[in-house]
Amino acid sequence: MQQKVILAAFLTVPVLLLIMFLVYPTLRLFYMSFTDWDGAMPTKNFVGMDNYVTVFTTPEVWLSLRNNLYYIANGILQNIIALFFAIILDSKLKGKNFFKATIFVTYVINSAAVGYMFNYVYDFEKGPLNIFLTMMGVEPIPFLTHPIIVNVSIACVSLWRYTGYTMVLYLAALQSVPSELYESAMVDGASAWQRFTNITIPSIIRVVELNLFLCLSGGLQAFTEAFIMTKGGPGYDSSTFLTYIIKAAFEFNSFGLSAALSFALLILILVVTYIQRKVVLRGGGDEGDALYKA
Amino acid sequence: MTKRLIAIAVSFALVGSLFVGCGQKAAAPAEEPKKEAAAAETKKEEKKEEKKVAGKLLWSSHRTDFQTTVLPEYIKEFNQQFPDVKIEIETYKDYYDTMKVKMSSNDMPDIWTTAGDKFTREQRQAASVDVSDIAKDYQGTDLFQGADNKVYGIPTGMSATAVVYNKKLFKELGIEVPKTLDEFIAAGKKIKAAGKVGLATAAKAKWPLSNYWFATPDTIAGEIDIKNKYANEDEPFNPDNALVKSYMLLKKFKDEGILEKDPVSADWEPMKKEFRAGNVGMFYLGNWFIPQAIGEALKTEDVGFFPLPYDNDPNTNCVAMGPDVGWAMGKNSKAPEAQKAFYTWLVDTKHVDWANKTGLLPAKNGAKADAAWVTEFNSFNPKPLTGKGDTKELNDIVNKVQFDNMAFAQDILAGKDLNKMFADLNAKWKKARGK
Repeated sequence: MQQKVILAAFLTVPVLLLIMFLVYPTLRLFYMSFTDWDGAMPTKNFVGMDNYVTVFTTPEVWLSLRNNLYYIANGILQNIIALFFAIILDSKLKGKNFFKATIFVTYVINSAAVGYMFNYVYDFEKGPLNIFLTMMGVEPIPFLTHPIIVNVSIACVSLWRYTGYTMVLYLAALQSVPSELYESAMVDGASAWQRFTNITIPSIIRVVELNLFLCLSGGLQAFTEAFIMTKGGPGYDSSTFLTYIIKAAFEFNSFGLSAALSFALLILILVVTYIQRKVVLRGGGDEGDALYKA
Repeated sequence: MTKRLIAIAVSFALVGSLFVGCGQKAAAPAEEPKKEAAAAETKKEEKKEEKKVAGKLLWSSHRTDFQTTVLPEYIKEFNQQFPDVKIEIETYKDYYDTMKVKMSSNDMPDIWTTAGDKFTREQRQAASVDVSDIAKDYQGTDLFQGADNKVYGIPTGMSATAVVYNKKLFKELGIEVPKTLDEFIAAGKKIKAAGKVGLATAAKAKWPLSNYWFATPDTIAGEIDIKNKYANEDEPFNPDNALVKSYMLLKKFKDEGILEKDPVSADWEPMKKEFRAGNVGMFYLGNWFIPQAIGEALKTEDVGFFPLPYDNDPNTNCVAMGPDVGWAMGKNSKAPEAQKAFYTWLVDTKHVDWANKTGLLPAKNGAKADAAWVTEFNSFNPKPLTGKGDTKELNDIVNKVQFDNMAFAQDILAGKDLNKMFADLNAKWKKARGK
């Protein structure tokens, strides 16, 4: 009995905080998505499913969602690079702490600062990249103004920024793989590739899943870089789902629509994550667990 | 056992403190009526004894650069007359978004900066005090009307949208102020040939492109608020339409190559610096830019202002003119007497001074600006067009279409097909009107 009282007493605070700052706002958001609130006036009218119809019939929303695919594709590339670095740094390498720190330090920098910095790097006339290209006799590339290149450029910034973070996660996982497994595999004559696919991957599959989840949800929520570097421009060419939400709220004075967009995003992330779990952990996860049990 | 009891006590204390926090907040509004009552009492006393206005005010402004200079100076001057009024200053960078948040929580500053295009009529009315009695003496107040057609802000000055140019550069290259579109483009090409930017757009920042939506259509059509008419048409955007012509003009500037090398990558701050350094010939903006254009390389006499020659007829000199931002009184002030006193003082005595400091033309009837650029600008015989602002019908359609004019202009500069863009817009426009 006493234990239950203590449990309840200790849980009250976090649960209340959770309700105040997570559950209530989410429900409120859900309610708002059915109104035409303009964000400033105290009054709002109920408009039914109108906002959701607008979400699915506005071409710019789909264009923005398409642009998120660039970030997701980039996230997958980021995972490959990070795993590659992690495996190299997991071996006996001279000065590996220095390399580790160098690769990770990009994650520490404030993302707004990164955005501004790359604004200069990508500048058409005065950016170092284009000055270098011109010196080599190549035409300067419109990094931030070409409708396709702009997405690749901005996605590359997040690649640059988050690779270190992903790598550190992989590194931690790799270090927990018992070295006896590799040794016995080597005695049995397994090649490096066989060791990688049969020992390393199954052992770290949980972390791979985590990283892929971060990559997907991060890709769908890509925002800061695009917002700071181009504000979604030129036109809607680099607009992402989140920059569009901000735009709907503050430029079109339509908080209702932007609430509906946010809710659609929430659902989207849940669905995509569910599918991804099914695909990545197709038996692989259990195998990993079995490995530890054995 | 005692440990457990202590744990229970501590956790209850923690939970309790949460509720205490909430309780205090809920109690706060109850105090307000008391204060208002107190203010009302002081009001009675003041009638007997004038100039005993007292209270604490909050002045919020969008001019972050004036935070420690002009604003405190004004307050100091005001305090010589009204020593008992304490005024605090707040400036924000994302000013209008911040104000919308304050609006939704009914927490408007006593004096704030309103803007014609940033708020709806309903929002203005809900957030500010009616100043119609003062507004009679000012131009351009139509844009600060609420839904009830009363005026909720006084313009800080008027701004014409025309070409700010580098006189020094024009002299060096032997260029006359262009009177026709062909001359204008020739001038741009000449400046470009000298290795400078002919006509700056700062298109990356987006908002400098909004002139092609707000100002140029009216000047091309030669009448005010031409866009309001489009709200009554299903497919208004054909080649004769003034808005289409306005964007065609932008496209022409790009095709003739008088803009920046890659306009969409040119941002506002860098272009401003380039202009100040003398590397830009012309900038299609409002006259408010003039004080900011003056720097080390350009003196006051080196910056001029002329109407944009939008066609080849030298006698068409229409210039869209509109109020800059306005001063408004926030609703529900805790010291309404002091608020009113400061507001009338600010509007009455500082109007011309503020206009001069911010490069505006005075909006007060009969007030004259004496800056050199004004004299020069007037010598071109500009025909000012001051609109009354967008109608609700137009606003609704634009919001329904989710039309972002600046993104639209960026698309043109990025080389998208203008005909297809207008065809799409026509289709969306028709659909939005059908609802």
